[in-house]
Amino acid sequence: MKTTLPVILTFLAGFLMLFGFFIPHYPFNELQSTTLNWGMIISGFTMILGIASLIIHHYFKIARKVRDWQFSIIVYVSYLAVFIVGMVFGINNGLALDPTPTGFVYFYVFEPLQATMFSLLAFYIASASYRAFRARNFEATLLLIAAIIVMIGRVPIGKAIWIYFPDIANWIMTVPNAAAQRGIILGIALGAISMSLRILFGIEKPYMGSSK
Amino acid sequence: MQSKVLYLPFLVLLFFFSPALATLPFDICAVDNPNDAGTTLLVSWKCKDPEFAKIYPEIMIQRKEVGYKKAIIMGCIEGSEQMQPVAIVKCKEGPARFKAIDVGPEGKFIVLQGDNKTIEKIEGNNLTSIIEKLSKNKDLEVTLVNRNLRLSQNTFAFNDYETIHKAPSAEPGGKEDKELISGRNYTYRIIALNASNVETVDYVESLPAQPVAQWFNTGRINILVGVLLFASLIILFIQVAKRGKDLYIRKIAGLSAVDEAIGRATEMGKPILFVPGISGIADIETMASMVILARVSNKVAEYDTPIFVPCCDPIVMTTAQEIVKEGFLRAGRPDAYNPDYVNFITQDQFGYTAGVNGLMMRERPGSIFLLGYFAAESLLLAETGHETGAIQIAGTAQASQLPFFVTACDYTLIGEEFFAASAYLSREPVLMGTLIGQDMGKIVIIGLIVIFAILSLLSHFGVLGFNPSVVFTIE
Repeated sequence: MKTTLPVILTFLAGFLMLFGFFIPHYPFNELQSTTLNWGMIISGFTMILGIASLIIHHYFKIARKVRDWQFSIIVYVSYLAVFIVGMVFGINNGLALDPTPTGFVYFYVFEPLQATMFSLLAFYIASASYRAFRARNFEATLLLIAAIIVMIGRVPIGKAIWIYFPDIANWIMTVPNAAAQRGIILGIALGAISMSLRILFGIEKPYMGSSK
Repeated sequence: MQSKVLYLPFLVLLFFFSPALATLPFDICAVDNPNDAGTTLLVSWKCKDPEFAKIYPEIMIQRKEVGYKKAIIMGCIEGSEQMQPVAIVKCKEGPARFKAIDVGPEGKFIVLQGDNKTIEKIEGNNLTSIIEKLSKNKDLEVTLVNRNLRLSQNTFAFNDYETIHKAPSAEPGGKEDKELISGRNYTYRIIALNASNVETVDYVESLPAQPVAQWFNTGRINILVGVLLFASLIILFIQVAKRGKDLYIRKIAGLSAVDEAIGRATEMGKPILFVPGISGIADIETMASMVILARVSNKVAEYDTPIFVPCCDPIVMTTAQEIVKEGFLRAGRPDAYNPDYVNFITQDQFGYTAGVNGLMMRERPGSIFLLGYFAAESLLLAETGHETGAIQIAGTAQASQLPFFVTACDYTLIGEEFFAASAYLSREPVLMGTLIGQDMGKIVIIGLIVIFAILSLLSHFGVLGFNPSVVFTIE
């Protein structure tokens, strides 16, 4: 019963959603939005689990004085500071630049930190491209040539060097590149459908803490 | 003949004093949308006189709910006199039920009147309480539009016809009118506007149309056929596999390397890092990731190697905890399980990336698994992992992230390989059957692509009298 009931529930829930896709009539048409609302409510409560995990994890790091335990204190301080500011001052809905202290923390601390992480990507792309474009063999050389043509074809100077660079770059992107991508996407879609069917029929049960 | 002459003055008078109806040179038609939940109508119109369109270059399409009277309670933002709708009040038409919604002097009370009696009289100028009191009247339908307004002096506006669209009058047009109520009748009328934006008194009105909910979306029949065909192939090959027939699966380097990666980390005395992506458990990629985690956790338990699973979603964290715990249990080493192996970092994408990158640099894992849904953080994670010198196995269904993983990782599960993990690693006949069924589905699709490419070419050169791509059109 412990394993059968979740499988039956998964089967019923999955097929109801599938019916909702083909049947526009009430109540099937509202199944997706209703379950989405349920999901949002449940995930709101599961945040408590996440926060508890975070607090306990860092508590043990500090208590056991494991390596770099000082960072855990920074986690506690940052978490409590934002939590207290948010609870005391609240947020001002509907304004692009929230003038409350919570808005200050969001726009002048949180967002710049996010932007910093994202901007690191430029350097990582440079180092990864350097490795990928080394002409070690025929395929890598082909990749290097295609990349150079696309890069030159996408900047204004490319057209100034040779008028056909943008056209060749577009052809590479829209014909061989799109063909390869569509092949991969087709495989992904079939794989996802196959896995969904395995889960719906209870052949695979990853949601129960095991692969079988 | 004499009698006809006598009637003539009356006919002329009738022409001049008749109500303004259907005098604009337009055809307007409203029909039910055939594949919806009964909430939309398709409205189409066409001008019959190009000369008229030159004088009146723009038209307004207006909607009326037949049999219902509508009033709009108006309000304005503090410090401004610009009127905006606060709520829409509707009531069935009839002499004793609904006639007017009115505001008293200086906006102090609102009265809903029937012919001989007052239906509702609400005192006060607090909008919220007025709306709440109106909502309690069962004869009324109240839809709140904007609560954050104050009551204005002119609090009501009758508006049985609501403008839903503006369009150039010369061109034929159409509109899908949404958010209607199933089973009610609606009419649409066209009013023309001249170059100075002055409306015509005359209008042309459509016949009433009713949105009706359907029990099957015929526009998706092609998807149903595809799903049934694909599911049949999978079920067929599961049966074939169950009969004990030997099924061949090509070698998938990324999956064959799973055991090798765990062994390498064990030999080096380093932990394993398993990153399940940034999506929730409802995502099929996270599900596929959990399947591989089950295999990995079982192996690490056997080898007594520490494993770290930092999670971006609390539900994924709970599932991963269960999976890793069961992996240790299955290996007969439940005591070796450490609850600290699986923990939550944050739901923020780049906060999570920073947390995982920090973990990589501090713990220096021997093997890193990046399996699940990844977006812009894929290269940030994979490059940091590469810096640590760990053996990296990545897999995602996001085609745009695959080049980053191919560049920075040792093995990448591309496309359907990622979803084939359970069958490939366990070699169970039932799971192998689903994989073969999936491959057969791919062969069928390739065949269809070739056939329809030829048919499209024939259609392009006029050999076929129809467009074959219509078969794949989805609503």
